[in-house]
Amino acid sequence: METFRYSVPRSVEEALHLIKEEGQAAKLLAGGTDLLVQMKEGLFRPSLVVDIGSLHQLRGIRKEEGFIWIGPLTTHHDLAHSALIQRHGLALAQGASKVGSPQIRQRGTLGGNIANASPAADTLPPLVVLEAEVQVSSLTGSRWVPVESVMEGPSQTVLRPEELITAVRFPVQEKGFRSQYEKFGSRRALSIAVASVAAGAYQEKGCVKKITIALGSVSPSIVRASQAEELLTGKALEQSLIARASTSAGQACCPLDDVRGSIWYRRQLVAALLARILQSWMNDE
Amino acid sequence: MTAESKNQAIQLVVNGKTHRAVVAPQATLLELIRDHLGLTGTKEGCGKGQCGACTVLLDGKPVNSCLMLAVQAQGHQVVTIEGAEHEKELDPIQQAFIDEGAVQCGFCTPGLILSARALLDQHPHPDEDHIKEAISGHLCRCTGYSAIIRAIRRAASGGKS
Ligand SMILES: Cc1cc2nc3c(=O)[nH]c(=O)nc-3n(C[C@H](O)[C@H](O)[C@H](O)COP(=O)(O)OP(=O)(O)OC[C@H]3O[C@@H](n4cnc5c(N)ncnc54)[C@H](O)[C@@H]3O)c2cc1C
Ligand code: FES
Ligand code: FES
Repeated sequence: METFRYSVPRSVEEALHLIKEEGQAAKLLAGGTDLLVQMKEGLFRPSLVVDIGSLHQLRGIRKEEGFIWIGPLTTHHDLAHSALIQRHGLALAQGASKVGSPQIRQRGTLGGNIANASPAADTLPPLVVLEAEVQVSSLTGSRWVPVESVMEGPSQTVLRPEELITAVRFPVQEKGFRSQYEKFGSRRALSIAVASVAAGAYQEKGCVKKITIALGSVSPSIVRASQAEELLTGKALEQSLIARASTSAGQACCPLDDVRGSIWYRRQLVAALLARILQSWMNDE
Repeated sequence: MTAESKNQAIQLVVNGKTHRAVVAPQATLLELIRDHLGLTGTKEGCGKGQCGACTVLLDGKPVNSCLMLAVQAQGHQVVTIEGAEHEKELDPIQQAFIDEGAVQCGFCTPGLILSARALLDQHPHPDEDHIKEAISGHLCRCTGYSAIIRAIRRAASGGKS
């Protein structure tokens, strides 16, 4: 790793000043599980590393004003074990529990996962189906951006160099809402998703009132399976509908064709993963 | 602290003892442990979070020391394999690894023992799934894992197989 100057800001404001002054050449450091690998590989050679890891005000999970609020420095371990997240956003707890390994989950953070913008990021499809938003702050103020619009492509986000993710929140859904995340990798631990599916739905007396389906790792960004969503809306879950919707989800994605899997393979996976989610919901009814 | 000088003075507790060190900002915690403190029980395999050989306990929780800057450990408690034994007595997990033949080349062993320690501190009586989950961040090229799982189970049941 090449050398750099290292700063530990004591407040969000100080962090914002530091990244503003340094511009493109600064890098924020949270858990470091992406950044350190990237710096070791020479992908980034920041002149200044701004370690936000000890800004405790950016860590933690709470329920307030009809939202679940998550500090960006909250680790995957804490997300996976949070009763609030399990209750109101199960897909996110499941996504976080499938990141890397226990060691990675202990250090890796939600904000880092979002900002790193990998199409395979395990928290992104869950956040999309939970209709989560990200608070992006700079010295001139802050704005809320839907998670769905944060990522623009692999390693690309709408974040500007002088901006920091300062919060993530999703609405507490009404009764009848449920969400689930399924990931397929080459093995259970320490494998990046070949394909992943998150779904969030309102059901009333077995009927799907509203459903959101987000696919990970099959496209340069997270994509919605809109056709499958339409097929399912207003209907009761049954075998042939599940089969049609799942196939449609497989087709709807514009998959990556790479070393981890071909387009054909990924379409099959998406279909199987969505079917698994819908099947388990049907059996629960 | 908003120090921007090149080398950083840090203070941390390693195996119960307070250490002060002056490190380059890019030095990893692994380099601090091995090269500055001379605690070579912690191993470097991949250097990228994949193998778990560099695992240490940070405030009681397993982390990959290859993916942490030494400066990030400022003010924290670190336990390495050298800190596993108590008053010259092996940790029951270390003894169980010996009794079950869970060590072959030994390269993965220090990390695995620390992950197992963190597990048993949280769940003194883990089931097999808990054990597998707890060691899922480690690669072992020799044993095929069964003996490791048996050893952890043995340690959890007070040394009986
Ligand atoms: C061995 C290994 C396995 C992995 N497996 C998985 C996996 O299965 N699934 C998965 O999704 N990921 C995986 N990852 C990737 C990584 O662990 C996650 O993306 C993690 O959430 C990153 O968080 P961090 O805090 O470590 O980020 P860092 O490395 O600290 O930062 C990542 C990027 O985000 C920026 N950043 C961090 N916080 C903020 C913020 N608040 N505002 C703005 N920018 C910010 C940083 O500047 C940097 O560019 C793996 C990584 C490794 C090394
Ligand atoms: S050396 Fe750190 S995980 Fe392999
Ligand atoms: S004993 Fe050789 S790698 Fe595990």
